[in-house]
Amino acid sequence: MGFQEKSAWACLIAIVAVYVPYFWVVFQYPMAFGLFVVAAIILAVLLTAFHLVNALATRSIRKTGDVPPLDELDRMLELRAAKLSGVVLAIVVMGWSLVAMFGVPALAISELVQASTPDGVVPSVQLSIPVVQALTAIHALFAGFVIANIAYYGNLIVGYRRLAHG
Amino acid sequence: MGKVAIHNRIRELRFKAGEMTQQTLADSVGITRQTVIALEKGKYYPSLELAFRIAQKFGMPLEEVFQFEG
Repeated sequence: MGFQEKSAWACLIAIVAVYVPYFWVVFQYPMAFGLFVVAAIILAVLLTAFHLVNALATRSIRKTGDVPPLDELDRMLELRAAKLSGVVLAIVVMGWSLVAMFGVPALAISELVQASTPDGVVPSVQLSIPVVQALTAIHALFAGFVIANIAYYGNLIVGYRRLAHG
Repeated sequence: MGKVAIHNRIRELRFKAGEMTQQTLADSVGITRQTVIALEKGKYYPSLELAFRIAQKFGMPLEEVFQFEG
């Protein structure tokens, strides 16, 4: 297994290891947004550690001290993975935007209907989105970004497995 | 258009060139060993530039190393 493939594995494992527990917590407790910083620090530490181990385990780096540069196969696999990741991210962002565009007015109409009197008079109401719901929506959008990253590294690994290892 | 196949003799030529290792060939043409493996298995078709560099490494014309079967 080459350096680039090991790096892709390291990134995938680190992202899954950090963000699966992260989202498990924040979707139950949406106010725990401070965990974002903790997760980012843990991810940085894990990636640094993985990279060091990967560098030590790679013979060419031990010999020359240089990280092997990307060659044309690496770049092709990266482009394919980036394309898939872009599609995933676009679907998530589009889906999230559609839900927001139709969901927020629907919520407003529902509040107006609930506030209206039996004879159909609609009083002046203060329309608002609960903080918890807004934070959950933000967490969902961020989850989409993380899923797009998982798709990127997953596709990269599948590409290496298929092309380089048969 | 049907499926295109480009065959190559990289593995054979490596052995004829004093049992050159995949790593040696990779280092000399600026690619990784994984790419040499993919090329030899026919799972990856190189760019024109890389194909020329590989042919140059074996001291042969391009068509002696890569054969096109359309």
